[in-house]
Amino acid sequence: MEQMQEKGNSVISRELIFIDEEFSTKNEVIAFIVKQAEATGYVSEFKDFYDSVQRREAEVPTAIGYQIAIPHGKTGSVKNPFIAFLRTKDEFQWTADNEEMVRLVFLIGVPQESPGKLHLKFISQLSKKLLDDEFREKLLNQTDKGKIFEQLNSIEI
Amino acid sequence: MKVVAVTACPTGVAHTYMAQEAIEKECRKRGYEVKVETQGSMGIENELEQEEVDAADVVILAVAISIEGEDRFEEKMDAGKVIQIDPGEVIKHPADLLDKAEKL
Repeated sequence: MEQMQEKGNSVISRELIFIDEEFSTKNEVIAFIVKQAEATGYVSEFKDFYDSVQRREAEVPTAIGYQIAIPHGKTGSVKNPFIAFLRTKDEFQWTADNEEMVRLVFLIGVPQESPGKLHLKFISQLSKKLLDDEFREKLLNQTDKGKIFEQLNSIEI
Repeated sequence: MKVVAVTACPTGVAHTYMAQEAIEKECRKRGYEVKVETQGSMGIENELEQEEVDAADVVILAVAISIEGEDRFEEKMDAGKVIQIDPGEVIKHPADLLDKAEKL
């Protein structure tokens, strides 16, 4: 199976991996990641993408169990599809009216217009992998950012 | 037991495929035959033929949006063999869903 290796245009970026951050609310986490995504050029307009992610959250919050949340947005201000990863130091409640606790946040950005099937395939394969106990365990315990990058980037499509 | 399912969510990038994985995993664990069609951002994949639907004991529609080809399941609906459920629920509690499917 081939692996996804598109230089300079990859879905997973070292600059969008954050571990043991001291956040305790959903809004803080989303705002932080979106700001970084803007700084690295994946997103052209903070507000447009932030609003898109929050609109999706307003429909149904994206905490999916297993200490994971997958906030995501699909909008024109996403220049390249990406998945950012943020692990918080402590678990926190994703939304007030939902008891789901979260430590692993995967924020997914997809451009409005056909982002290319390879990227979508990668995102769907990574999403599936999150149901794998061993894969999750590694993400919870790994202290080396580079290793997390390798783990996320090694998804076969 | 034979299970067929369709998964679909509003954005179609993550939940659709996670729900597919959750259903397939739980079915494999129980030794069921399973086929899951996804209707997501990559279009329709693993499409269910009418005969496959007809041969199934249970149909699971893990969908949060309206889907293509819903008429394929009409007969199963009349027979009370269709479970409609939110994809998020399936991801969180696949075992509960299959327990329910067994009792239909």
